[in-house]
Amino acid sequence: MKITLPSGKQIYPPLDPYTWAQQSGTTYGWGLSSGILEDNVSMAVAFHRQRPFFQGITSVSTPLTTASWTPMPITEMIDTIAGHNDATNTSRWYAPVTINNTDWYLVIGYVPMVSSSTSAVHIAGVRVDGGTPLEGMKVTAGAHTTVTPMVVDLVNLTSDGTHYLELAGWQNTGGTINTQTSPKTPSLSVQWACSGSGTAVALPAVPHTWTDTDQVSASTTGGPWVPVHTHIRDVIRYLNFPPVARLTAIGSSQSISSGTGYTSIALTAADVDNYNGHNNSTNNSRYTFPRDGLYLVAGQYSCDETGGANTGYRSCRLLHTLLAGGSLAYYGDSTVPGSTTSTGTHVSAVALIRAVAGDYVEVQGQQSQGAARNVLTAAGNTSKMIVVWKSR
Amino acid sequence: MTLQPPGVPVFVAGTPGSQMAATLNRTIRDPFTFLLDPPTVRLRRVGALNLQANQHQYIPFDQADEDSEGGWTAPVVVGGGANTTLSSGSSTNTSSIVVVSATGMAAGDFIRIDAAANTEYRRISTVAGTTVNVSSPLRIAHSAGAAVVEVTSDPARYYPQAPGWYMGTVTVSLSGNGATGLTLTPAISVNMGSPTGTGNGGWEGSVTYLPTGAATQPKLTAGLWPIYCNVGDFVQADLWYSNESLISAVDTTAGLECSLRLVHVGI
Repeated sequence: MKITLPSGKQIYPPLDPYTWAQQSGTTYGWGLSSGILEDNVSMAVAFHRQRPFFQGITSVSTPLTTASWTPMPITEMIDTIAGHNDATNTSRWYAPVTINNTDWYLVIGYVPMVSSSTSAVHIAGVRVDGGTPLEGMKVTAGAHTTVTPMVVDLVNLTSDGTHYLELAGWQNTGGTINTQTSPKTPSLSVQWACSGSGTAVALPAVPHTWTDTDQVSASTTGGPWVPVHTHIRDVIRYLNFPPVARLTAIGSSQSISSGTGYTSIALTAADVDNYNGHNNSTNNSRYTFPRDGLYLVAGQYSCDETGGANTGYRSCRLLHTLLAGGSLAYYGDSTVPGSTTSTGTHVSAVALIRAVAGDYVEVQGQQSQGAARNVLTAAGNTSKMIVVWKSR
Repeated sequence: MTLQPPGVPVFVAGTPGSQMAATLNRTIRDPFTFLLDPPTVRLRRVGALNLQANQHQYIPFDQADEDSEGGWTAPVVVGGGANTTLSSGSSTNTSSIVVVSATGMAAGDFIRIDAAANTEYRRISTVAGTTVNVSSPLRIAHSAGAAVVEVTSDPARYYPQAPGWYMGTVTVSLSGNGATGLTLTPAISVNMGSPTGTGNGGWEGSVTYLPTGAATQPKLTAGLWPIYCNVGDFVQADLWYSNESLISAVDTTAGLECSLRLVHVGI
């Protein structure tokens, strides 16, 4: 996706901002020229005011064959970078070409299904390039012949315009069931979240109010000096590369006791943790917020089921522990398990959490089977936590 | 002036020094301010609220954890405004009530019907004699003699102050003993409809089958959606649940409250 700047110059965003040269001795410094400001500020504002975004729904009923992943054909409602085609490979959304090698995208999908099976499970997932699905909710149905699993994930896509993601559904009722088209219908939303690489910086302060007595420096502070590295460069760096994390329980070995309240899930692997809020070994259930702000947090508790008489309920919540003391809970889904399934149950929780640096959040699970249950740990079929900084 | 997302700043060579500070504030400070601090709101229902099964119902919030642009307003009784009672009981799912006196009532006014956990807020659509038609069907039944008072706002509504896309979460919860087959659905609505054109009461989220046991077993579900809003639109959280149980109220336990949370994420 090229952006055309006001001068007519075209660039691939999000550009890494310049580091200014400070005048010193015989070393010439850089001025605050219109061209330099356009390359940096205009570019950043143009990209971040309208980050790549896609939203579409399914207008036709799609049959889901048992025990098989089926991609959802999507009709686009908005597609800011033309990553989707309503005629060809309609399930796919292709990531745009950006300046980065890869970018991270927040993906939200729903797959409503027509099913009354209380023994089987129904899953919404995201697939990248047709690979192993990243499973979202995995839940059973009931008497109302409708069940809607949701998937929320943070997906890494190579930024060369040839890699794609798609929403997919799965069920194991033993027969073919269909997706709903009314009043619910499958939907997919995708938004750019973070560059695949960048420079972690301090949280930008409230943007500087310029005055007639200001003098511009690269980094010098004090007196009349306004360091552009702080007030321009690092603001852009932060917008390009905010704190994000995708943590999973892949490779963990954890058993959750029955009926003992909520247990924090050990997250033993990180696909991204660009501000080092997590440790895979020490206190590995925690994501410690690295900067103040409002964060979107989505957690998933993935509970193994034995395939016998699954009973009780499964529940997920987020627990926000404050540096200043105390904690706040954000409860998510609670559901009965598929009565005879052995593929597991996934329940999720999602919230916008206001935090200060040093607070931490955990995803927790609870189950009441009457016996201990393991946490699932396979790629794509596991507990996880997604974190994306959204606002100061 | 309506809060606006930033336009792409234009830097003009040769800007006079006397204009430089104001220019840099307009082209650098203001856009960065919006991008770093976009509009946000986080609302909860912390007080008791009665419900009706098999009914779409918008949640009237009573706690704003944050509301950066003032898009949500706690309702206040309008001094000298309409102040009457129901002349006869109203049934659930009706959009029409009959009051003792319609003095002071006009289309567009907000009214509060009943009190405490039975409170509902509606906007008046039309007034014909003592029959008042309201913006959406009532959630529950109300007895004759229930208060009907004009207020300044409907706390179920959040009015975005800047146009654009918002990332929104809705959590809905129930309090009480479950039952086999009990299901609960959250939805997010824009102007009392679904922004995608699909869904009853709003754009519906995940549908799950709830625990069947005692009130101590959590009964809730949540959704996450990107929605587009213009200034003048309003956003609401919708709750629907099936009628297998005797549940008739939301859960107000800390962390299990119904909630609506939004953050602006672009144009």
